Amino acid sequence: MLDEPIFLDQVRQNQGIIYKLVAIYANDAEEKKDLYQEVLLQAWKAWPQYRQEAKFSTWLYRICLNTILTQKRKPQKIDFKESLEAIAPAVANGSVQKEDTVRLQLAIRQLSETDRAIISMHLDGYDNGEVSEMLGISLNHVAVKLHRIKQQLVNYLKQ
Amino acid sequence: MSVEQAWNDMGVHQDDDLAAMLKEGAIPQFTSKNPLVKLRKNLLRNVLTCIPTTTFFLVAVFIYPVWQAQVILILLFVFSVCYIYSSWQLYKQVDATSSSDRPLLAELKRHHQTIKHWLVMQQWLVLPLYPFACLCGFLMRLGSQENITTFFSYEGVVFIVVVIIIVTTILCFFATRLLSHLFFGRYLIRLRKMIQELEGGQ
Repeated sequence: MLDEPIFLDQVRQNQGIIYKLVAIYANDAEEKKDLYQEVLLQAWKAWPQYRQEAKFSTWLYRICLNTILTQKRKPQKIDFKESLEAIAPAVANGSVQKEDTVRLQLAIRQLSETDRAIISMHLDGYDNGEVSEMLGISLNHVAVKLHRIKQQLVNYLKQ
Repeated sequence: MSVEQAWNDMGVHQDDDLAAMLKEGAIPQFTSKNPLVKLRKNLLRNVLTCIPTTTFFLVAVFIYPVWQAQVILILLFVFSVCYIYSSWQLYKQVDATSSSDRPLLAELKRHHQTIKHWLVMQQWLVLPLYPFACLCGFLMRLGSQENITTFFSYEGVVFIVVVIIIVTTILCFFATRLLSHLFFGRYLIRLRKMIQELEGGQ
């Protein structure tokens, strides 16, 4: 296909989206690869319908979320025991240490699947209106959920 | 460093597995593990395997000149045709591609409804097939009209046959349900949970 190099180039520039979203949902290395494959395949199939007026990153984000959350996956195992208490205050006041990136990821993984989608979109800079449109829920509901998710995240970190 | 920055830093990290997949010609070769893709394949396989069986039921009606067997064969033929038709309709309806135009909630509901539809179809349409097919096989083994008439002339045989059909139908219903639950049960529960989470408070 003539379009393939363009598609691959766009995906390479935005592969961080796929990496981050898969990282907060995949339960093991095998599932991670499966999700990568499925996201790339679904994006490739949807590529002919991609309209240039939408940002590619937003388009890819939607494909990623829709694919990952509707995929049949293994039940989640929380396989880390270490306390995340250390970064709880940092999350509460909006700052964390650089080396705590992985810890933040692990904390997000403790949230419910839909809450993970909401917080990831929020952290990626999507406003509540965009989140509402991407999820298909009301603006007010997004605001309420986001407030609760932030509190929940802090509580998980304090455990 | 802000939480957003920490999150963005995660995206800067390059994964070798992902990078290895981003090569020309690789993506179209991937096999989808999407549940709806599997469902479509399953539906197509069912349709293709049912066609020879259904043809056999029809041909057998003319081969076996035993009216009891003929009645059951006609019933089996009708059930099979209904099953093939429903499977084919569902196969055509199922869109197994993820669309960026559909919001997540709509996508979750679409998956849930499609799989539920398939499960209900399996449970209600397939279950009469097995008991009637067994009975038909039994009658065919008896052979002639004479043997069948003699068999049914024994006291209580009709009652026993009816009871066996009812029991096997119930067993088939629960067996189909159990198999469906083993295959899609946990997935459906997860989808329903996510739908409820997103709909809650709306």
